[in-house]
Amino acid sequence: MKVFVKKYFNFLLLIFGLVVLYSTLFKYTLIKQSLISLFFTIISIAISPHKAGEFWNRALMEYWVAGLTYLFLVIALLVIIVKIENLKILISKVFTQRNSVSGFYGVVSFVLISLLAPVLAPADPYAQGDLATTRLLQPFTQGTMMIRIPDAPPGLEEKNRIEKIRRTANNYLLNRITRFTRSDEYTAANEYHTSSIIFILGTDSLGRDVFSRIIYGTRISVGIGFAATIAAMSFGTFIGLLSGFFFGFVDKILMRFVDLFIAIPSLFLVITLVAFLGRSITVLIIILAAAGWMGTARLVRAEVLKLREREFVLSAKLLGVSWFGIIRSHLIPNVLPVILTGAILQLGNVILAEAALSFLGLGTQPPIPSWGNIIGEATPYLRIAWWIAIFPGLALSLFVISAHLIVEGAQEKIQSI
Amino acid sequence: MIRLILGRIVSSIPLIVGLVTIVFIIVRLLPGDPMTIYISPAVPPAVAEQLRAEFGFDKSIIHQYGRWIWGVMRGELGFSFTHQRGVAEVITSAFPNTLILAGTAILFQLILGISLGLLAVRFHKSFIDKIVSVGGLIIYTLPTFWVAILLLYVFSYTLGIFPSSQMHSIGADEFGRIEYLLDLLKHLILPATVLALPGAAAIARYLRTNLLDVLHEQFIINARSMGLSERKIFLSYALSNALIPTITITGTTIGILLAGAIVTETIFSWPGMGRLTVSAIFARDYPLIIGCTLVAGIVVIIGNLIADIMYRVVDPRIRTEGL
Amino acid sequence: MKYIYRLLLVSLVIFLIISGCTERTDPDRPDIVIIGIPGDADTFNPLFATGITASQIIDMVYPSLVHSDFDLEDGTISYHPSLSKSWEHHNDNKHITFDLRTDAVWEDGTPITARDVFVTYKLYGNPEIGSVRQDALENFLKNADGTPDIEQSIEITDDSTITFKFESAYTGQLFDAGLPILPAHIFETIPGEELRTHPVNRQPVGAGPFKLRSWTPQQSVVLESNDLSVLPHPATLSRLIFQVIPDYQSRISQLESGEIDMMDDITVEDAERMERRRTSVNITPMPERRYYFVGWNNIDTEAYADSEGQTIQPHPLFGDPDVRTALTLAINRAEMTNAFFGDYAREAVGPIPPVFRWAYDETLEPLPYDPRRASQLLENAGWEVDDSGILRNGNTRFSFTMMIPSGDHLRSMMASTIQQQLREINIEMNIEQVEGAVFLQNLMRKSYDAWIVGFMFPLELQIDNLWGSDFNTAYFNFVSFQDERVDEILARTRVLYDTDEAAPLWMELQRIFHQKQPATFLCWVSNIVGVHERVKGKTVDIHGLTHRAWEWYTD
Repeated sequence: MKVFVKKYFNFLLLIFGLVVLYSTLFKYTLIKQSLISLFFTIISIAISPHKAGEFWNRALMEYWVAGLTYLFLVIALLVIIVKIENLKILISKVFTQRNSVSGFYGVVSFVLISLLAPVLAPADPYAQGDLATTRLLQPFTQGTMMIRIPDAPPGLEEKNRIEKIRRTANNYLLNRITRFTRSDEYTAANEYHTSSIIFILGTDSLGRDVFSRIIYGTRISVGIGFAATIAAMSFGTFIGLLSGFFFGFVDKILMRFVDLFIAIPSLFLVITLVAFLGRSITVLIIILAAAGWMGTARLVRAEVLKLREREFVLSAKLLGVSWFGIIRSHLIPNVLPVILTGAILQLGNVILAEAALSFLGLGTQPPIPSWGNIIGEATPYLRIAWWIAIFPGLALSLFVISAHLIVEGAQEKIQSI
Repeated sequence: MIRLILGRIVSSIPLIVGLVTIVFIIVRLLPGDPMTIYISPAVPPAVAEQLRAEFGFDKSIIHQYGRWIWGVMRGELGFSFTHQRGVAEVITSAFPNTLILAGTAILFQLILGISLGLLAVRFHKSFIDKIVSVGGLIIYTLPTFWVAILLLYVFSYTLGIFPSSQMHSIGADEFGRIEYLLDLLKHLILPATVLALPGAAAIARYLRTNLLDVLHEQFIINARSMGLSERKIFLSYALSNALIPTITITGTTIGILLAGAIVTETIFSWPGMGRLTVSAIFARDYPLIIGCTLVAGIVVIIGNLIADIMYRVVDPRIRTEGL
Repeated sequence: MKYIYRLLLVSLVIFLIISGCTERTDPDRPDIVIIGIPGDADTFNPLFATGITASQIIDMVYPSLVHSDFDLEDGTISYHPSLSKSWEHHNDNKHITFDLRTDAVWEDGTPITARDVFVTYKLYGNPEIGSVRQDALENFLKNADGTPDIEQSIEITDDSTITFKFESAYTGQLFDAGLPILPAHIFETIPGEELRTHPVNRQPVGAGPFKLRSWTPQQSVVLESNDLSVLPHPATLSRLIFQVIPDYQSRISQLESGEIDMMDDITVEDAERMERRRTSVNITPMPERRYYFVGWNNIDTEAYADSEGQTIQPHPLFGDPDVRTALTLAINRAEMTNAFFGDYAREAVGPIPPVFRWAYDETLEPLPYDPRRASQLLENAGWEVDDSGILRNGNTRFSFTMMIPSGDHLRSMMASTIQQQLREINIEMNIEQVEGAVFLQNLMRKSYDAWIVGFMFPLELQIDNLWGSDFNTAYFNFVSFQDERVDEILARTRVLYDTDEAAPLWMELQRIFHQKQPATFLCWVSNIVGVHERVKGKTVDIHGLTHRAWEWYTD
């Protein structure tokens, strides 16, 4: 087992190293500006906390996260090189099965990709090409990427130095405009910095880089997946605990409620709600959670019912420990592994559901690049451009397989307890 | 057994009522008046009001609900705007198509799952075994809609072996009986395969692990020592024990498939319940949406019931207590 | 284990048999034409039918007083006798008297008389029935409550003479008098509340060149030649089949394999592919009637909503014609038109379609794509780039949401492209997709700031309900455009029967639109039709696919 962990661990290390190398070489300015922006924003907030709201910008967030993750990776690499053995032992203790180790590494990679999206993607996922020459290009076609960094915002001279640096960095991050082309005339007509780009996975119907879209799509899809899963698990656990503890009338009512939700075909429920409530990502998360909490509730309830008859719970009750105390010290530690296994499976299912919804045109709104959206937008071109639909599907499958692999191993472990 | 079934049916009535109530409320409370699409903007507002009144949209939601429930009691599910026919009529014309697709998918799933599972056991630790256990997991996790468009791309667009949509070729009404059936089968293969794949993968994997476990159990070893033939041991002892999970998996898929495989039916334009539901939702055909939910809910409950019963038939050790 | 192999063998054989049944590629069906359609007909009752397929079938099955043709050479519509032999205008063009044919009969042999016409129009005008074609009766004489008064408007002289009386003279009279006519002897017996559900909606009794043979919902509608028809004669084809094939990709494959003979709405990619391959399918564009434009709400949406439609003041972003011009300049319409429609569309300049040759101003050039001039215009209007890189004018940021209906791939692509192009002149645009019914409802309430719509232009040159200033009658004036001169022109052209007199007015109108840019017109798009070469006759007409289907024949 240890050998196995080691083999894969080294592999993971190699990938980490490559990621750091790639981003340092090709995205140096971006990372630098991201970190400057983050650093000076923090300073600005520290100086005048009452104006914190002004410094906040959701679009900047992704660059800050990417910058931080990059820093973290660099530090982690250094630490690992020093203390490599301890970490391996830790991982081999948590995941005792071969499959779960590789599954775990898979999920970790996807999470990393999503955090580092701005650094890893060769281009802006929304950037289009000129429609005449860059639509539906095959994988590995070469093109020209044109970037325009707009002039510094007016009135900068009057500001103090911190402001100045922060704003210049933000300007770089937020107001860059990217376009693609394959025609020289087009490049000549516009005053942009040009560089060459290879569309590794081709371009879509608007001349956007499919590879960049898939990388950003990881964040949308995996992000929605995690958020909806956590929401579903928390709600399910709450209902399950409630039902297991106050058995009798409350239990009956709650379980009928669970039955009711199970009887509605989940995709059907989701489709109806999305069609009527609109298609914001928040709504999507709530809805996906609403369609997936029932299993957890049942599982937790069953565990609680089993446990409440066990001796240690009975004795705790006799000793006068409060219900809350029992839940905290006995039940949660016992129920947690079951919930976690369920959660990982649920994660895979939620991501599949999100993709299916986006594919049907009911999920996240185009042009947001979620995996399902990319596939959905590609279907009219299936005959002439297969590559747009195939690759996001592969990413999706890889993620779900990773999740299932973790569970495969974990379930065997739980059964053996 | 009959008592059990009756009990289950009675206890699921409040469930179905609850389900329909929830959908009714969701659908009627949300923004967008269903009549907007069906009344020409040139119609004077007073007339539009009158039409709304005719369909009961001006009344309170409780009133509308009462009106609908009263209709259901008399066997009327309302009138579908988009189809200009009664909802019950629309559903009865779509349901048999879903039944055909689901039936075939379950058949495919059983054949594929069981034969692959058995093959894996027969050639344990061989190449085939690996493919079944690893490939099974992969296939089980693949996104259905993606598999569907992949199969479409390969078998329909590129190779042209199977048709890409619908149930029949054009002019199929005039085919001979056998030709007609073959034509239907040809249209069935792709969607049924897509639907059957995850179930088949699950069955193959479970069957494999279970059978391997059973074959090492004491009673098999005893039987062997008594000199029974391998074939007999396998068929009468091992297999019957190992088939239980297969039946459970099949049972749960029945309900899901019958409620309408929304994505698959949409991709393959199969004129069944799934596509009907989606088109009703997109067209805001309120009465039809509620009708489809009602049917889907009932079918899922029946599916679960069938799974339970089959489970009991196969394994009488399971007691009926507490249900 | 033998049975496993046996099983595998059997499945293999089944597989081979099935895949062995090859597609029939050469269609062998004389006198039968199959049209592939995306959605089924809803009803064959013209009172309620809304779908294109249903309307096409109704036009072939039910009779009408006149039949229209569009002359592409000069861009005018002309009317021919159909159920009527002739007609004459009188009383200052307010009245039209039709002389009906006496030999026309319904499928069941009952003769068609003026009473049929009268009863039908009574049904169309009855507010309790709520016909979808009620707006065609807007210019009939009215009751006190505003509903059409059919008793006064339509006068029967004898079985073959009938007079229509309109409130005023206008050019679209014959269009409004040309609605499908229903058999009175059947419809009189149906109580009003049963009209929507009555079986006759599925089994029409008509008098046109075709009659319904069978209808399998969601699968096919089969029409056959109506031997009794004299309007104008029984169809030459023995059968015309509408086959429902919802999936576009399947429809295209079946057209290429010869399983169906024609379909419309072919994408430019497939059209070009088929033309390159020289298949047996002829690709023909139906002249441009469909158009797309970006609507900018000219009035302040919030003020309008708060005052329940009383306050009309300029929109904070789009109220200024210069700003709207800048937006048009910044959107590369030529590139989009070319990329999404290839040779099958032309860049739009104004609200008049190029098919109305006599009224269309060929001299008017579309605004060029010029982001620099756009920026300049915006700067002159007081918009400056702020800290966040977005234009700002005082406290107003140039940021808005573009609304599009969900499920429309084309408009989604247009919106994404516009988003990127506007970003280059420092305008922030979000995209929101909403469900179709909600989209329409909110457009009517004028609660959106910007959106993309696609319209079909009717064959009568009438834009009163699109661009008139009175929002009550101009219910499609989503951009809330108001211009006195445009109103004057619309009022004048309504009654001008002579195109030579009307043409200069229409040209003037287009120049006003060009100056004020109430919306950014994108393109006029042809409907691309594919027809198998075995089908002969006038298969592609600007009216629609089946306009003269009774004249079609096969090789």
